[in-house]
Amino acid sequence: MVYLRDFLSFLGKRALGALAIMFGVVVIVFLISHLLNPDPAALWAGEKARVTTVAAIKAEYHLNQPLDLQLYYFIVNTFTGNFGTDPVTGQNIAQELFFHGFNTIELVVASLIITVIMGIALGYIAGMRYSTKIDALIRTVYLATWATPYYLGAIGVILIFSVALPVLPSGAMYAPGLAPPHPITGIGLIDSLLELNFRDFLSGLQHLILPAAVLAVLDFGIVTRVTRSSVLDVRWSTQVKFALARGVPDPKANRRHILRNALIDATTVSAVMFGWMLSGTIIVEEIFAWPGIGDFAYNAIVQSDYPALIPVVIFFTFGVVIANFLADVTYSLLDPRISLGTARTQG
Amino acid sequence: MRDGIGRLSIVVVLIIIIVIAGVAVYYLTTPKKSGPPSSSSSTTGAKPNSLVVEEGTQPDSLDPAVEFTTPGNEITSNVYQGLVAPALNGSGYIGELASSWTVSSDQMHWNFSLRKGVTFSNGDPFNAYVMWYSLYRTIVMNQAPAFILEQNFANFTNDDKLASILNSINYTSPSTSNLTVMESSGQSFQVINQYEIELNLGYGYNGNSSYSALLATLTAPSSFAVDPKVIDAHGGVVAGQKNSWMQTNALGTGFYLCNPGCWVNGQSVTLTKNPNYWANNLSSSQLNYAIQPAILQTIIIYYKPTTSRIADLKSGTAQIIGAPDASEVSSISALKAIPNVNITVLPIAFGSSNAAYYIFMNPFINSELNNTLVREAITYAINYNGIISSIFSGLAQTWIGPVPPGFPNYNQTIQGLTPYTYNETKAAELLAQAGYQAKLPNGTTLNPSAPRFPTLNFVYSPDLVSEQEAEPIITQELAAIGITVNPTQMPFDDYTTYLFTPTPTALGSTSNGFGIGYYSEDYFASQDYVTAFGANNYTAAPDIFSNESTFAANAASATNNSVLLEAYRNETVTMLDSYSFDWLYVPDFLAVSINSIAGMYAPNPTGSCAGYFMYYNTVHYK
Repeated sequence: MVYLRDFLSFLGKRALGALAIMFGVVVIVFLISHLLNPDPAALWAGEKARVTTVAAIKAEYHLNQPLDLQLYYFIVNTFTGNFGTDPVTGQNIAQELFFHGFNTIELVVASLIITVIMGIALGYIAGMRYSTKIDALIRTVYLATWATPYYLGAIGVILIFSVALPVLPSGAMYAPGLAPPHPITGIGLIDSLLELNFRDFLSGLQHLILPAAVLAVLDFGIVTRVTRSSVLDVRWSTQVKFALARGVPDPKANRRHILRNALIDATTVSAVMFGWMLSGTIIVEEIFAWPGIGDFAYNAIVQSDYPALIPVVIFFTFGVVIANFLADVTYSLLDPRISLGTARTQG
Repeated sequence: MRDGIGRLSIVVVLIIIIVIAGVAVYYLTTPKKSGPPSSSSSTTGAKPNSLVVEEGTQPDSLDPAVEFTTPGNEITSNVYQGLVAPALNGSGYIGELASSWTVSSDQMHWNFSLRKGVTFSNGDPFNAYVMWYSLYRTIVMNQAPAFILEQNFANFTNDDKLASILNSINYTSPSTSNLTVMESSGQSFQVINQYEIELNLGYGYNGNSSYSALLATLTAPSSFAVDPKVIDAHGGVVAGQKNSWMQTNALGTGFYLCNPGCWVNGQSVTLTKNPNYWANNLSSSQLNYAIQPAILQTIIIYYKPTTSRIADLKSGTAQIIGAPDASEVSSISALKAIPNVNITVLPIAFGSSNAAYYIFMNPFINSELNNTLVREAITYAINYNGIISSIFSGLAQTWIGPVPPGFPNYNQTIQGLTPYTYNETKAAELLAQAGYQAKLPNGTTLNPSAPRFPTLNFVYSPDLVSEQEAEPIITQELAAIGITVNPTQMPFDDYTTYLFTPTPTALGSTSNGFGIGYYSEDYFASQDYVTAFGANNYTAAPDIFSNESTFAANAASATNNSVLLEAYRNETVTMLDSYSFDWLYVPDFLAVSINSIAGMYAPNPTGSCAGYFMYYNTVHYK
């Protein structure tokens, strides 16, 4: 039984911790960006900017202030989403992040769903079929895919599914000529369903399969491995033995005890996977022409667009922090011992 | 007792495997269309009304006063229009927004009569006032392509006062005071009347001289007409700054529209046929290829890597793709295997436009390169045809610069001249004559008591495939005669900055005077290359002889073709005889499209985006 007070206390501590980490990240990013370029205003203004333009940017973003005040305004601007104007595209960086960010969330969430289902299912099977050929096969597959770099995997699936067997599109978010759905939530698949635009939905789904599959297949290995280990640990744990001794039928013991306990570790690593996948989007989105944050970051790197890169770094980092926070919350719900802060008594 | 769930899981997995295998067998064994259709007709006989083009790089901007890449040119050239366009036969120009033009005898004053009845896609009128605004706007904003106009016209860069004037004038019905400003004499762009504008040279950094490539500069997007009312409604002109709305929106007089949201950054640009195009009702006798209305309703340009482009061409998703580099031999082989696809080697002008490669030997940085014998030895040490064969499988050619192959006057300029040839023995002998140890092909050392040639840093960019592949070959060939080089990679941005910075040094380096350089045009004109190599004194294009810049200037101000040719010839011979540069190779450029596409005219080789043309209005299905 989960006690509400303890749970809220746990939640509060974790939230404060996450905020502290985010704060620390912002400070580190600020320091690094200033180390890389002592005159960020010149970067913001662009290559052929006038002195007066640079001065105006310094005044607007307080870059002519002492470093501690600059840091203060940097933190305020970060948490209020004021990242200024992109000197390369001329667009508001926050709006660019917003547009690209939701496209990436769509991709990463889809990948994560596939990863979690595949990883847990295969990890469970491998754990229950420990030391059999099935176990060996699963371990071989996940080690091989895990070791495969994103660019190789992406190009490989294009060659297979778009060239050799042209059954899936090689890139973009929708078929040529299809207008994307109106942005309601920002997530294309959801927006198309909300609009009852099934053509967009099906096209979006079709275009999502390959990039999501690449991320999922190349990353499911760690989830599988962790789940397998958890299953093995729990399988021979006192709890399960006790359940069997009490006469709980074996399959029922599996479902209720083994899987639930294995899910705890799998949930944790899945949250880590979210951050991992975010970094993988830089390559995958570029290869699949998926207009997400990864593609945005790639273009910013190629164009030396540092003012756009800084918020991308913050976005990625915040994404990892938030994902870990959610993992902690889920973890606590799955295992009441966490929120209680005490070990469950045996017996 | 066996684990029931485990048995069930195995059964489920097996069923899934059988289904996947069945689907795979079905697809592998069922005959299906391979590659794009050979005919454009569907079962109903109707032809498709849209085109999908796939390329590698997206535009940098949709603002013609800002964009400076060929993908950007591709979009702006279909949405906006300028005074003139290149003629179809490659020599000369035709009127786009100008119906005719005259030039003074000293070539300093160009008078353009403008077409009447031209409107922007929103109905706003185009006239001489708008053209006056558009040209000054480019200069005042002072972004990357502004220099194209600033060569010959007033330098009002970063001028707040002029920006304020531009924002204050009514271009539809200008007041008397507005007209006084636009019609006053003694300025670069002078309105004569509502449909007549005069361009007066001599106010730019070329000084008080004519410019033989002026019309070429006017074909660049920096000279396209933009709508003052629209810009005024979205921030106006700000000196020295981009306009954020114009970065991602485009509204011009052209045959295609780029509707709001047309550019999905990182994915695609969609062009839609302009239903209000001003030339829709003109008779065929009044039209030329540059102004005729579009045929296809929609052009969608996707930006994808090479593998995806090839996949989409094969599946029929794309009808035209940006070809891989000539050095990407495996990709070209994959393309050749696709049925119903045309792969055409384009005239070499396209390769020149994309990039012409050479070795630079800057004696102001590496003093040992000040010896003509040394430079000559280096030119003989390199196997040009071997490089072309091994890297490009023959899809490249040697050249004699600075006018690049296929460009106007190239053949006349190099008539009777021979490109540098490979002769290892002669290279070694020349190096020995220069006072250094040298090695003959048979291993003999010439001048054994002389000093070894100092090790040179050899600059190149690993981001350029051909340079990455050519570097080890050249390194080995130089080592064979006794010149040791130290391969020095530079990231692309640093590399291009280094190449095109005035001598003697850039980026704090004082030792990188030797390497592979390349040049690609800013606009389609031989003069662009001649000036770059002969007059600008770049790090990778040092002015070794003072008369190089004189010849370049003579060419720039030439008022007739014979003077122009003489200047080009003098420049070419001087550089060739003095071994100022080691002209390496110009890769071929390929056009790739399905068989059923036609109308891709190639008047302007500044087409390294889809590959080979700029205007989609004439493209259609056969």
